[in-house]
Amino acid sequence: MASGLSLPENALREIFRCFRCGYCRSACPTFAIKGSESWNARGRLILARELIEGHVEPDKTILDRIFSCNSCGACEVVCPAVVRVVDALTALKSALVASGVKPPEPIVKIHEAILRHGNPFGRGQYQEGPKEGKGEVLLFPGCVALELEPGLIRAIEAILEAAEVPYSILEGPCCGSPLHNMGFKGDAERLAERLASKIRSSSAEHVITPCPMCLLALRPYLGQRVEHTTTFMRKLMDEGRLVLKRKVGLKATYHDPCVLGRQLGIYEAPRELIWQSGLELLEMPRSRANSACCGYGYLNFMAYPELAREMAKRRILEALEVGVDVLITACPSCLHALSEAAREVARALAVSDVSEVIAELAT
Amino acid sequence: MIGEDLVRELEGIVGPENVSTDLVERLCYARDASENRALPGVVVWPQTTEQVSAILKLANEHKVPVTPRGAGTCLSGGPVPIRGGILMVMTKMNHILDINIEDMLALVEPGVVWQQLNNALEPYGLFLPPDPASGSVCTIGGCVAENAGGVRAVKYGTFRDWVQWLEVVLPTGEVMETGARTRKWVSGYDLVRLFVGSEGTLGVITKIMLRLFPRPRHRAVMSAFAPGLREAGKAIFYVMSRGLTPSAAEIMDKYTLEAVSKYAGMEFPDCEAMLIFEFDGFTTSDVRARLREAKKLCEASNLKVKVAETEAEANDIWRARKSASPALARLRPSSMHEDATVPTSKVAEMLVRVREISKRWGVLIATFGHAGDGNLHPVILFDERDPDEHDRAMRAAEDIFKAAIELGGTLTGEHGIGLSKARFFSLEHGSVEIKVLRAIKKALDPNEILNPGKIWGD
Ligand SMILES: Cc1cc2nc3c(=O)[nH]c(=O)nc-3n(C[C@H](O)[C@H](O)[C@H](O)COP(=O)(O)OP(=O)(O)OC[C@H]3O[C@@H](n4cnc5c(N)ncnc54)[C@H](O)[C@@H]3O)c2cc1C
Ligand code: SF4
Ligand code: SF4
Repeated sequence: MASGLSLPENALREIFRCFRCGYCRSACPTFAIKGSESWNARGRLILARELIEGHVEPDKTILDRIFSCNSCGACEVVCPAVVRVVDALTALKSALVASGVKPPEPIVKIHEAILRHGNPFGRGQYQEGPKEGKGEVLLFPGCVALELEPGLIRAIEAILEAAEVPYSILEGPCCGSPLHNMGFKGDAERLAERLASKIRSSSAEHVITPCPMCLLALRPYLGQRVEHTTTFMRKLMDEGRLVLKRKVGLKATYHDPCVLGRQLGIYEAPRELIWQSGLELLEMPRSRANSACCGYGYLNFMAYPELAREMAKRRILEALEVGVDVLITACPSCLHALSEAAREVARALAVSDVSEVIAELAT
Repeated sequence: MIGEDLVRELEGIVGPENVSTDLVERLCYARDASENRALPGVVVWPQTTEQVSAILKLANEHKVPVTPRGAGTCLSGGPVPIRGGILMVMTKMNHILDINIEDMLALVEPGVVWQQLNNALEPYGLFLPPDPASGSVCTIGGCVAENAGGVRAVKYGTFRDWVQWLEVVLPTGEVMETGARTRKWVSGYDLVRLFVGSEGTLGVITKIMLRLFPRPRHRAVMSAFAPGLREAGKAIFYVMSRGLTPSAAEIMDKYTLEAVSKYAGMEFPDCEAMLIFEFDGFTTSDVRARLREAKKLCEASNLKVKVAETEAEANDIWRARKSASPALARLRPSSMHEDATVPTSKVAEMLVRVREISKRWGVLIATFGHAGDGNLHPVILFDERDPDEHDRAMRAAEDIFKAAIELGGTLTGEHGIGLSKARFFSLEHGSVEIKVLRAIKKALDPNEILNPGKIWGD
């Protein structure tokens, strides 16, 4: 390893397991946009190998290819060798950072902001203790919802109030998941640990978050005590605590967020909520495990804005093809991505988080 | 090796955005799905026949090699630019130009993806029968150049049987059209067949006219479990020789089944091999009748048969077969997929020999594949980072080729010779035939610039 990269054996095994069949060409969203092999899982794993074997130095171009992988995991679903591409490339990013390589500039900035402010947007500290006393539920909205989609938080609050669930809100610190994806493994783990210990000190029975990435980061520390807002709402409905007062009669489609679906396996809860709302659910050609990334996950829209916006636009066009009035999702990053893109290419298409739909009907 | 001047001229032809000399791109275009690796000097993405022609003329002037590439899913090194030079990626020529329902013909550019074409045909109730497993990504140009086949080849043949007409840019840059729109033609040499399977060495294919077929409306599927390899071979031979025309006749040996059962959590009866037969057609009665006949023949050879009674059961049987590759891939760090092919009557013998070879070299070899047309896929499982094991795997591959030839078969049923099997080419082909092949190559490519170093090597 001429470049001094040191990867754990299990990551090496995944990188070398890729036999370059190219099946991931049909799935990788960055490849769909850029069209050349280096933007694909296959290309990235070839480059990983070349880096590990010391045939090439980690220059700017190569780092762009590696760090622009947004860990959407679409490639893994079609991979006949079942290569764990996301784990492999995340380990590669970590090894690069650990060897002293500086990631692309926007990523360095995000890293600094999170370390300094506890959030990526650099807008001062979020409140790091639960707001408003005790409760059955501790709501952790996550940085993206707090900064960019506050309406989503209001909707979740409205639902909890309608169901008469006492709750409190915990704003920060950041769960660390973007940093994990960007190769700052140690910092990410420290942040997740810090957040988890703050949560542990609360007496809330359930911890809920609308953000699949926060959920993924917290699961190892809190297990099933932390859950996604959609599965929690589903339970409230089953228990008869959350009752919908009205129904809507529009056509909707549902965009599976990559992390919620492929990583956490939550496909049904959001759909069941949509059915309950009376909306007619029509599926896009790429749904569930084959869902297409919106581009914004793990703050990718700050690191690679052009790629991210183009991915979001393409997803909107796919939703339009299905012929629906509403595009529903269940993740603050997806919500932000798809709302922005719809404003640009399809003003008539409404974009909502499933919590927003339920809040409308429950209050 | 690639001068600045040449790069500027290429940029003049296709535009600077369609030329790359970046090391990162060249590394990614240095490989296909085989073990081969060679860096191109420059990567270009032409968009028209005229551009392809201009590039080839330029390459002749500069005596620079040109290697065409589709999706790079080749398993034999065909698109790997072993002499460097220009790598010509055809994926931007990806338009379906015409679907003619009356004559059941499609006209496409070479970069059209197999799946893209079949999706477009679906509303018309038509399809392109040869079905490479890589169909979700491989290009029609690549399929023609490799004479690709697939599961359905046992009934419908390979690409060779479905190409009607081609537009080809010859290595000199001249543009040639060859073939006919009609089902029958005897008007001159069959140059279409010369180009099908030419592995990108005789010309760059820029337009393809394909024959289509009505999509069958019904299918019936059954699995059959054989107590021994010889029984499996016998059953295949009987079903094939009775004219039952299965649209799939697949096999998975014990090792493959063990891997699948671990990977996909499926259970199989105790056996040496599992066979899968599918019959397709336009009426249920016809399809069912052929299946019943096949069932009888299998049972007469001591196989235990399970007929899929529902669509879900049929899908389950196919799920087992489709899990073969992923299941095997997780057994060991590396795998080599061979496609040695033998006459149908020799399938059992070949399976036995593969077992012996596996023992001889102490490497795990699991075999599955298209038993009905003798096109087996012995998968050699090893660790390429262990030099000794890697060496034994290569020797096992060599013995598999020799066994196939001894049994009257061929080195490759569908993956091509490329670089991987060039060393073995003369095992199968005599010196006179190789002389003719070289003469054809020389006549079309006097400067030997197009995809040099392939098929017969040097
Ligand atoms: C997992 C896996 C499964 C596979 N399953 C099958 C299968 O079931 N059946 C089967 O037959 N094959 C199979 N293949 C092999 C491969 O997918 C096929 O050969 C496929 O047709 C190659 O298409 P491609 O676009 O990837 O071509 P490439 O790999 O890019 O190129 C293949 C060859 O064609 C030449 N070429 C490409 N385009 C042109 C053109 N326009 N003009 C002239 N020459 C050209 C190249 O120079 C090269 O020699 C499989 C491969 C993998 C990795
Ligand atoms: S699909 Fe998997 S094995 Fe195939 S090239 Fe992509 S990552 Fe590699
Ligand atoms: S995880 Fe997503 S972006 Fe990354 S290589 Fe796979 S498909 Fe492409």
